[in-house]
Amino acid sequence: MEKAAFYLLTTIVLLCAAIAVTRRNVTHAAVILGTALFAVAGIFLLLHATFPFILQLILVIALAAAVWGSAGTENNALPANLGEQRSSRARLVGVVITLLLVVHVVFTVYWGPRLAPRGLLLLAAASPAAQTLKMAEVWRSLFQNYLLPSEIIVALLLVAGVARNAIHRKDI
Amino acid sequence: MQLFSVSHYFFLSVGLFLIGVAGALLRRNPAVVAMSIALMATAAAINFAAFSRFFGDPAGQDFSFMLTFVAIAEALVFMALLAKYAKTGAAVPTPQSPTAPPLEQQPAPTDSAE
Repeated sequence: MEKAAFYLLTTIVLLCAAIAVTRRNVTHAAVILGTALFAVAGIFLLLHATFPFILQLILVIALAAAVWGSAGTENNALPANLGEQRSSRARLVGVVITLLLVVHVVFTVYWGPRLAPRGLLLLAAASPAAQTLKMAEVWRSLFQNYLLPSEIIVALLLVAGVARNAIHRKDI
Repeated sequence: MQLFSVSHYFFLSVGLFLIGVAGALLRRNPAVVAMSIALMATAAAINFAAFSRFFGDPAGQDFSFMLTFVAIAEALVFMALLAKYAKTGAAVPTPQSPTAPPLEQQPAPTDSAE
């Protein structure tokens, strides 16, 4: 059951991410990206990562609210096909990235399972921890070891919220 | 019986990160570039959460938590910017904006020494 859920969610994530990146209509791309992020929330749930799961849901809701808010503008949509002039250099970079993707897929499908039992992939030897992390441990680690980074992140979110409201002001 | 190793999640995050890199490099639309950056951040968050789960260290979940916060802040600002540009009808400034004249038609920079 867990295995089927993992492969289903992985397929949804990768497929929706690829479609979101290649769509020309930005509103459609944002909606499909929301689907991919929702599937990522499922991945977090499989990993027993409760806090990232909740935050991922909040991210999906924020994205949906942003798309909803921008859909009511005068142009009735986010700007589509904007700045889509591609240079030959960008095409070259695209070809390289595509080749990297192909190599990645080939490595994953064919070579990954062959290399893992021989110990060539150190990552494959790792197994889930015996005890699932408790929420209290995560909170304790966050507020004892990483208090300053978490405060900076919260301040960043506050600044982003203020900036969003400032951007929406009519006199700017 | 062990169903998964951390490499499964690692390969998923690598694939997601590569898609994000491709989108950020290939597309010129600033909204899609922002989405691609969010995809890359999500891939890193998956990696952090997976390593946290498989090695029993809560620090990975903490970093995943913070990365998702950054993605939320980024989504807020970029979508607000795009909504603003869509509302006013102005062109979003891009490196190769359609409204800007091509480089070959722009006046050559004058040499102040002459």
